[in-house]
Amino acid sequence: MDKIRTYAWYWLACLELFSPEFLNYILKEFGSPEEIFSAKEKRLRDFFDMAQAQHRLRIRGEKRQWEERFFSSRNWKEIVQSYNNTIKRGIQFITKDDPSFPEKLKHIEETIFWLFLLGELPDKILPSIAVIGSRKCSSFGREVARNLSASLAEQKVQIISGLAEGIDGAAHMGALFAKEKTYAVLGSGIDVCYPKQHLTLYQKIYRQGGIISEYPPKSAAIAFHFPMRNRLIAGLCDGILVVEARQKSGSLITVDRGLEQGKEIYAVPGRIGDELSIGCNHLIQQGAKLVLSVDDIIEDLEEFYPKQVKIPMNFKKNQPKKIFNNNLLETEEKIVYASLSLVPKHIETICCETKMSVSQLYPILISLQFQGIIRETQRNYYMLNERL
Amino acid sequence: MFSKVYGATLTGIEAVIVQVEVDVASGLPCLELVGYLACEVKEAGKRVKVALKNSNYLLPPRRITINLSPADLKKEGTAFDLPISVAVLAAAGFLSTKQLSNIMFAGELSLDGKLNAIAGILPMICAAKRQKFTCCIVPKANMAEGAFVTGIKVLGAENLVQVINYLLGKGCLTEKLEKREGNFWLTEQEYIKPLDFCEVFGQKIAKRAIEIAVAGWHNLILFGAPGSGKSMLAKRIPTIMPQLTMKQRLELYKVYSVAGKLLKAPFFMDQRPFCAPHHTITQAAFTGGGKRPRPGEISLAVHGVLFLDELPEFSRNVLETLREPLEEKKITITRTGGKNTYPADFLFVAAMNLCPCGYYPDRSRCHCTESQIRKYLGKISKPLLDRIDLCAEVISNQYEELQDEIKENETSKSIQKRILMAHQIQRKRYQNLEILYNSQLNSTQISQFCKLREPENKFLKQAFEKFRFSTRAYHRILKVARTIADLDNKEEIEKSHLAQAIGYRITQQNNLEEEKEWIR
Repeated sequence: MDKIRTYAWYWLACLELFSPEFLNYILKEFGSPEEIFSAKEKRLRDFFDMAQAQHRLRIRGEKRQWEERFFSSRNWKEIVQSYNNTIKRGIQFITKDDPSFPEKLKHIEETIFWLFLLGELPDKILPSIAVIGSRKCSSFGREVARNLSASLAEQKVQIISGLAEGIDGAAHMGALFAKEKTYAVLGSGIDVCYPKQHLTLYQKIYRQGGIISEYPPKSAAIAFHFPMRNRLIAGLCDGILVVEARQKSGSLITVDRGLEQGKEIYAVPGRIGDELSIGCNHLIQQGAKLVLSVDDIIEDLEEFYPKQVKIPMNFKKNQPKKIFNNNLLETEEKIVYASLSLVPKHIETICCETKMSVSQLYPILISLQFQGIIRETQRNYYMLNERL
Repeated sequence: MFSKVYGATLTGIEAVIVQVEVDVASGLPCLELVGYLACEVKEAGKRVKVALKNSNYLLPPRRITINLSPADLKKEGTAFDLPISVAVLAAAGFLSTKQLSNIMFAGELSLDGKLNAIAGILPMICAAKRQKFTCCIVPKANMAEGAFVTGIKVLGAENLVQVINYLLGKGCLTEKLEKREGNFWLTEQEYIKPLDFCEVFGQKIAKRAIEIAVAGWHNLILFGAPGSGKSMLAKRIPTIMPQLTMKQRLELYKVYSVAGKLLKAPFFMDQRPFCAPHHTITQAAFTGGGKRPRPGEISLAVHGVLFLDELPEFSRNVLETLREPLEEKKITITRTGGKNTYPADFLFVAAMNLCPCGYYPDRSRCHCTESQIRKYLGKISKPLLDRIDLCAEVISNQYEELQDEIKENETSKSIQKRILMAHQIQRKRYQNLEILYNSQLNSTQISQFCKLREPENKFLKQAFEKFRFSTRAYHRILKVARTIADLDNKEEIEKSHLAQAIGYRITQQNNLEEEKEWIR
């Protein structure tokens, strides 16, 4: 019985025809997915006509065509075969009836009925934070995302993000760097790596965390998938951290979804007028928690996960955790160190500010890099290598 | 009657002396030309006939055969008009043949007997000098080029009658031309007030990179946003280069002479060339070529700077042709007409943005996606990047730099002084070798001349592991460090030299490369 229902869910998942809203409606009428599967063609056709008349059913393309596809797909043998193939490839298919289906996802307005999964689902016992932001981020944003994610991951917080370019990728990388688990929620089929250049990352996350998607294998990354993916990201986490967002950013959709679901919103502040931080600053203005360091998030999580999350005893809030003793540096190194910050700076600017010559500056910068105090983010752009 | 006169034809940037033999014999009146001739040489017969008539020399109604020897060498160009007409006159008895054996003639005739300028006079005069001719008679418009060669008399004539009169001892030809001031590459205004590095504010990194590039003849690439001053810097590179040596100057002049570039502006060039072809240039214009091969931009930049602005915009096949000249310092072009070798010993300087819109990594202005950026940078092939030793960013000036540093800016003269010293050190070090500059060192020579002491060795090892150099990058860093040490007049390579060389190394600009390190 259960198996049959799973197959029926799988069938609906692979069809990619109905919105969650309509699925809820049709399930109310027919009871269960297997009953939709076995219903008479006449009854379904009448139901579709009625739903369309009530504007409950909105599907792109001609009605004849998709109806054709719908009815011709009702081939039990093919569905079972396709399901088995998918399972054989290591992809798990979890429906809302499964006991392992995340509790958090059951109360979302636009219902999530099923998940495709590679790897594992986020651990229920551990807290999880979604780190999201602009795809076209600055190196500052990239650094901050990576930095905060790594620090969070070290505190056993699971990092959830969307595998996109920019902030998302940086967030995953931070967690992987800390050798902790991270979860990617895709807007494409579970076996489609989008964007392509994140393939290494994709494979790494598969082994060290999980890849989650609502879309069946081979499904392409289509624009309207992404708002749906965002509600899934919002659903899976306990809080959402926005690192860099423009005024009209997809990240803000995730935030809206998160607010609907009662999630905590965190935002990294930016300078006034900085295009990449307008979204974040707005969020702060509207009441999102301003994040200066990872402690701002940890102290909230500590309330809900007292056993898992522990703030170190001797910590002073929002003090950068220096990993070295400033006094060990030589005078010239101190001058260079003082002129650097978390925003990458070009050597030319450092030159101008410290009044040192290029030939003086290069050995100092390299020595500081050897000591792990600064990092070169891009050719000749340097920033402090501090943990937030 | 038979007569023999000497002319010359071009192969590459050199010239070969050609004998023009004329025989006037009885038979049906006609004028026949033989000797593996190109079209324009065959037409010389008709031009000569009319020009002689219009100069009041009537050809006898006899059979005239003209042979250009060596007969297996393809003869091109219009330089044969003058030698043919002189030979015909001699064979017809207007001139005595005796005095002609020491003179090389070159020039194109108009129908009225006027002598027109031709391309490639300089190599011809050089060839004549090598062959121990005592005198060259060339069009007056070409005299400026001839004046460069010493040890041979170069006479300029305006028309055929002057030449004949001179040969008959009835008149004389122009021997000397006033030396004209000026410079070929610069506009008049620029010549009066030459460019100078002191006009560039800030840009310490880029300026230093340029200094190192010139000192060790390392190829250089400049990155930067639009308007940050990449072209401005590049244009000033010739001002810090040392003066051309006589040999280099002669080679440079020859190229320009062959390319026909000296005709319109017969200046004496005392500065090194700066060639900045537009990115729409074709392969033939770039490397040289055409049906009748001519030197291209890379040869016109010989001993100077070849500057390619907006490097990724150049078509791929144009850029890939650079590989051979960057290694061999010359380019060989093979066409149906034969093989031509042109010099291509230039300093390669390229400039480019980091993304299609140009503002990356300033993300508040740049909206390019990561894949666009990756694609843009990927247009430059790895083999080409491998031939570039140095790389520097040009970033937009800060306001303070524009304000207060006017007095502190170093002039080209003082930079040049350091470079001259570095060149001298290198010349001394490599006197027994065939190389001139540090950039030409091969791997065995690197281990011989770029020895490191113990602390420096340790430092480089640490950097090698930290930054994950390739072997090639390692060698390049040593070469550049050697140049920087030479600029500082230091015998041994020091830590600061290595650090600078590491800072100027070519790296993959992509920050995703770096991210891979994070998850490795």
